[in-house]
Formats: sequence, structure tokens, C-alpha cells
Amino acid sequence: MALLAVLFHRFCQLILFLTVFLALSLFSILIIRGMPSLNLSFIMDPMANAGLSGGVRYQILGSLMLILSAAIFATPVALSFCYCFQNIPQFRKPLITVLYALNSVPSIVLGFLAFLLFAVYLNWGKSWLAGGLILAIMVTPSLSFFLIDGLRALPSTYSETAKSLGLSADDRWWKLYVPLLVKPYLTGLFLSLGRAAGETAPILFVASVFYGATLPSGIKDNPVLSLPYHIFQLSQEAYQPEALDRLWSSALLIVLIVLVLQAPYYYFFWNRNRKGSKHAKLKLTR
Amino acid sequence: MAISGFAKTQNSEIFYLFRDGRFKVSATRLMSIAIVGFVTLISLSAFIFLIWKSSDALMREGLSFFSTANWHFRDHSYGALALFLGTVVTAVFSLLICAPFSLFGAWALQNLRSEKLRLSIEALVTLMASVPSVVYGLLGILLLRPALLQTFSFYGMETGGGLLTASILLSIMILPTLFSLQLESFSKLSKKYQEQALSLGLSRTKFFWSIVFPLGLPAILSSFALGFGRAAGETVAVFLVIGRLDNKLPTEGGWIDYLLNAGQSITTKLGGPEIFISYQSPQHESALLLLALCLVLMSIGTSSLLLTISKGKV
Amino acid sequence: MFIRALFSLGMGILVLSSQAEASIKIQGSSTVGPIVVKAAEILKSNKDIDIVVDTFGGSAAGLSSLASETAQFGMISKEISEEDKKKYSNVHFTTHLIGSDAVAMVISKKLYDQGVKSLSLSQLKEIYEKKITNWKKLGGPDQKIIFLNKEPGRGTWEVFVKAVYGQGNVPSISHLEVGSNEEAKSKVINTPGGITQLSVAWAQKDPRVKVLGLSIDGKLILPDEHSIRSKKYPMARNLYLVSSKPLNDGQKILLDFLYSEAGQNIVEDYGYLRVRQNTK
Repeated sequence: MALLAVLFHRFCQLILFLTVFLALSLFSILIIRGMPSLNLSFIMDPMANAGLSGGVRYQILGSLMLILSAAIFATPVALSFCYCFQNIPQFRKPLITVLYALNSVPSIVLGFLAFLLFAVYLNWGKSWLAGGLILAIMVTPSLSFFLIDGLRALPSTYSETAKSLGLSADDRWWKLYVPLLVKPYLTGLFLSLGRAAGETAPILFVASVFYGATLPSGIKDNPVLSLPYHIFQLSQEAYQPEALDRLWSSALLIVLIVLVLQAPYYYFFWNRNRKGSKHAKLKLTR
Repeated sequence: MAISGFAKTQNSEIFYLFRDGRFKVSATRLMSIAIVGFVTLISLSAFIFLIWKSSDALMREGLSFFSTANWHFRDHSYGALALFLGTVVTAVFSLLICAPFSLFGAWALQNLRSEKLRLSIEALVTLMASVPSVVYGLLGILLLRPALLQTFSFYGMETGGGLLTASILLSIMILPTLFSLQLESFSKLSKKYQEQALSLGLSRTKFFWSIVFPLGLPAILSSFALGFGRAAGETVAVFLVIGRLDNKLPTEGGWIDYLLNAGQSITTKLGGPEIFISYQSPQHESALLLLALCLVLMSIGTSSLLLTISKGKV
Repeated sequence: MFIRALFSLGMGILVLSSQAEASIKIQGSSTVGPIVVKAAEILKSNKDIDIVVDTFGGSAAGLSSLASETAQFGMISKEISEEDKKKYSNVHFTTHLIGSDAVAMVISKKLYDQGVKSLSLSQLKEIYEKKITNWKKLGGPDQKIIFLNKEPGRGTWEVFVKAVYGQGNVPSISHLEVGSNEEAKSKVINTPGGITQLSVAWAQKDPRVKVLGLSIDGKLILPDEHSIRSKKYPMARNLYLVSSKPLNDGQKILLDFLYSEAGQNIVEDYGYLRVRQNTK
């Protein structure tokens, strides 16, 4: 019996070791294959020769435009969800349902619907704004959950004191909660933006092209280049030697960008676990 | 909107405009409700649009949409059985491959004595989740496919791409999700019952199988549901490695051939060129929308399954 | 604070949308794509014209984006078929010939060295219909034939079925699918026993793939300039830019450039055939 117990324990440790080994090799391969071609000129130069030479300047800028517009649209929506959650108890369950539902829609369906709405029905052609709006829909649930959890984690004495001081619901919202929500907001925003920066499926049909777009000059018919789409297209000619180097570098670059964006989250994650403070209840992992 | 008797709680002030002569609804409140309402309305209309537009295909194809593998858009025939099977098989397989790794790995992690090491590994695995799916697809093409082709060509694998490849790739992608959820549950249960178990003289293994696993089952199952939903909805990574072969069923050649070789899933069908081709072909478009609707229902289904299971737990 | 932010965002969007878009959107075939991309690079530096190119979806996407007005030019590597005209009955397409090319049946060099050198059209048909499944029946090694079919929306695919099936019905058979020329070439190199339809120019530029000759009436016809221009090679095809509306200035500049010596040199650089003055 004891032998079995020890065997099982060792077995679990072996599995863990394999998992860690997998994770480490994943990142190592990216770094080893991607580092050589990842230099300043790669980042700063525009693409040349259909991706076989040059850099990814406009892909980075395009991705940035997409996630920035996603942030701009998602912020008021997430704040509104949080406000309604806090101040209108009757709405709580339906709101959570809507958020969970939005969160579980597969990204390709969002992309398909976005294509029908923006490119076909509204006749926007391929537009960066359409991409931003769709990414905003993807970002909103996760951001809302961060905000809601942020509020829940506050000790009840805060709101009790505020109420006893005679502050109205709105005053409480703007003067008490919103300042306290800045930290969860930023953490959640960057985490979600990091995820959005890597998404390909939503922008596949409505916002991204492979060549030619630089900075948009309007809304309709103004696509952008983006890193994930670049990698997607380039990976289909993966056996061309020049393309291969650039592929690895683009992949490494996009992982680095996502990690940089999500760094605040990991920082707080590390500290939170060390201090042992309350775990977020509504954990939305993807 | 005169929903006056809306709720009998103390906060029944949502829609009262005037009360005691004071204007009760503030701008913030109005705007928040407006924004939330707008977003909800859009989501709802999108869903209704999906149902409405796909009903045409459903009526035209009827049950054969679900029961035949006959997707030939040029002949206007849309039997999507192979697609459904592809999605479900890859998702289930990826769960099968991933579950032991995440379960036992999380348990080993929980029992690590060094806090620092534990946090580092947890962070590392969570980092895996940050890798975009395109990059996983790339790794699939460049590393996984050749490796699998070498290993399995003896068993009949032809191109290295296929359902098995997709399943393995998906299992790597959902691993962090399952891992962190299960770790959380194990951690809670350990904290709660560790002392009692120790005092009873239970080994860690016995502790796991008699206490942690049974009590943590709701959380584990809900993590599986989440993983399934994620795997079923993943597009880009699967698109690049699955081979995109329509209408193949395990009946023609057996399960081994089916798994080792190319196939198609709902997401890879939707991620392909048929979306562009279907423009101005209402039948084709309707069939694609029906596919999308089924996918959404599957995802929402697993998501609500998750919610109900997790309500069962603490 | 909220309201002010939203207001300024709204103003910003209004301002942005009032500016007209200054670039030409081109969508379509991955065969024509490289030519247009190269021309666009040159025009951008010389004439400061913005051209945006995308090849997701191939020739079919080229036509559908013209119809949905998502693009101003479509690129196609085939003729506009009756089916296309029926489907887009409300759109009037104008084709502009910029070069010609042919579709070749391509295998990996390894397979070629193992004895597979040519096919007849009827053998092609049998491979497509999965009646021949092993290369040994065609003089090659004992290896399963893996037909990497171009997606049915691709110009290359339509040229192929037209040559093999003529006006007859194309059977609906599912094969592994590849999308762009890039993907087809990559996959055929790395799939043992693979065969695919690929642009001749692309095949000739890569030593890892080999073009199969077509044996027609006993004669072996390889796709070279003579056989393509004389249409002896059945899978010859023209490369077009397609428009659906009167051309704007930018589009005229692009076309003029492509018709010019410099433009046609680009066409040849990529391995395609230039437009002869008397074939228009």
C-alpha cells in the first residue's frame, strides 16, 4: 500500500516535471529561433518583398491601433456593467449571464458576424474600427469581471462609512469606487488587451490585410496590418528559408508584446499570492 | 417604461423618475443603463439574427444537416456531420490527453514544499496561456507535424496533419486553463482538510484519492467543461494543422485512420474561404450561419454547464 | 468625465471619417498577388499611391469583394465563368489582362526522381476521383497518392477542373485542401506522395518541386512559353485585374504601370508570361 502511495506521488511529480519541461521548451524554442532575427531594424522597418524581407513596423502599429480602439470602447462598457452590478441588485444575475455568454462566444463566430455587419451590411469594407469594436466585445467581459471583483474585494466598511456620511449612490461611485477601481481596471485592461493583441480570428475578415496598409486615414475601407494575421499568412509559406526566420521573430515578438502588456497582471499575481490575500471569486480563465 | 412594481426591495428605485419630488435618476445611472442595455440588445439581436438567418438552411436540409457528411457547397448540399464529429472528437481527445497532465501535475504542484518554486511553476504554466493561438499554430506546423509524421507514418499517418495533431496542439493550449482551475480547487481543499488528514495518518496519495479528488470533482468537471468549450472554439491553431479534408468519417477506414489523418472541424470550416465564397449565395451563407449557431450553442451550453456545476461547489 | 471622453471620441471619429480613403484595395488570387505587391512597392515610392493587397480566399474572394465593394480591384487567375456571372448578376466585371501563366501538376522532386514524370488527363481524372490511389500504378514508388486539392474557390482549381472535365460536371469529392500557392508548394514538398495544382512560375522557381508533363494524344507537353501561348498546354490561363466600376486615377496609374515595360518586366521576373501586344 505504502509503495503504491509513493509510486503515485512520484508519478505525479514526473507529470509535473514533464509539464514544466514542455513549458520551458516552448519558450526556449521561441527565444532560440526568434532572437537571431529580432533586432531593431526588424521592428522599425516596414515589410518588404511580401514578408520575405524587411520588418514589421506597420504590423505592430496596426495591432496597437486595434487594441487601443478596443480599450477605448470597452472601458465605458465595462464600467457601466460594473456600475449596474453594484447599484442595481436586480440586474446582477442577468448581467453576469450576459457577460458569461459574451465571453463564451467563439472568436471565429464573432469574426463572421462582424464581417456580415461591417463589411457587407454597413459597407465599411475592411476597417480598423470594425476590428477595434469586435476586439472590444471580446475584452469587455473579462474587464468587467476584473472591475466587479475589484469592488467585491473592498471591505464593506468603505461603503458603510460612505453611506453614513450621506453620500449618494453616484457620489459613492465616482468619488469612492472609481478611484479604488483604477488598479483592477489597469490590471484587467492590460491582461485582456494582451489577449486581444494575439487574436487572429475576429480580425480575419474585417480588419486585417497582408500588404499595403500603413496608418488608416478614415474609417471605411481602411484596413490595417497586424502581427497575428501576418504570422498566419506567412506560416503558410513556412518552408521558404527567409520567411522562416521572420516567422520565428514575429512569433517571438508577439509573445513578448503580449507578455509586456500582461506584466502588471503577473506582478500583482505574484504579490497577491505571497501576501495570501483574498482570491478573486469570479475567475475568468481562458 | 412603466415598470413600477418592478421589485419590492428597498432599492426599488430604478425606474421611478420622481419620488418625494426629487429627480431620482442621475445621468450616470441613465447612461450606464443605456450602455449596458445597448450592448445587451446588440448581443441579443446578433443571436436572433443567427437563428433567423440559419433557419433557412435548417428547414431546407432538415436532419440531414446533422446526420450526413455531405458538405459540397457547389452542389448546394450541406451535410455537416463530419464537421460536428471533427469538432467534438478533437475537443474530447484534447481533454483526454490534457486531463491527466493537469490533474496529476496540479496535485504534485500543490504538494511542493517550496512556496517559491510553486509560485514560479504556477506562473510559468499561466504564461503558457498568454501565448497567442497563432504562435501555437506555427509551432504545430513547424514542430509537431513533422514529429508526428515520423512517429506515426508506420500506422498510416499520411501528412502529419490531422485530428490527432490538432488534439495534441489543443491539449497544450488548454493545459494552463485546466491546470490553474484545478490547482485552485486542490489548494482550497488541502487547506481545509490537510490537518485532519495528517492527524489520521493518511498518505498524500490516499488524501488525494479519498478526499481531494471526490470533493473537488465539481471543480474538476467544470474545468473540463471550460477546456472543452475553449478547444471546440479554437480556430487558427487548428486551421493550420488539421489538413482541412471535408466529409471524412471513421466509417471509411476505421478510427485509427480517421484520427491520424486529415479532417475538418466547424471552426476550421468557418475560418476558411467559404465565408467569402458565400457572399451572395443565400443558401450557402445560411448553412454557414447554422454552423456558427451550433458552435455558439455548444459554447454557451458548456459555459452554463460550468456555472451550474460550480454552483454545486463551495 | 465620462461624458466628455465619449464626446471627444465621437468628434474624433467624425473627423476621421470625413477624410476620404486614399488607397486602392485589391483582393484576390495568390498567383497575381506578388506582381501587384511588387508594383505597389514601386508606385508607393515613386508616386506615393497607397495600394492594399490581400490574398486570403483567392480568386473567388477577389470577385466577391468586388461585388461587396470591399475592394476596387480583384485579382483572378482564371476566366470569369458563367457561374460567376450568374452569381454576381448585378455586377458588371471588366477584365484587364496583365500576364499569363499555366497551372501545372506538381510533385516533390523526390517523387519525381523515383519515376513519376508525366500524367495523362484521364489519369489525372482518375487520381482526382480516387480511382488510382497509389503511385506504383503510374510508374512510381509504392506510396499512397495524396491529392492536395486547391480550395474550390481558387482560380487555379477552376482552371484545373475545366481542363480535366471540360464542360462536364465536376464530381464533388473531398480532398485535403490547400489555399494559396505558398501553402500548396510548402505542403507538396513536405507530404510524401503529394501532388497538387500549382502555378508553373512558382514550380519552376523552386528546385524542390517538379512539374509533371501532360501526355496528350501520346505527346508529352510541358508547360513552357510556346505551349502556353499556343494553348497546346490545356491548363494555360490568363492573369487579370478585374474592376466593377469606372477606374479612378490611382487605378489607371497602376494599370498603366503594369502594362508598361517596367511592369511587364515584373511579370516576367516572377516567371509569368508577359502580355503580347496582339493577344488582348
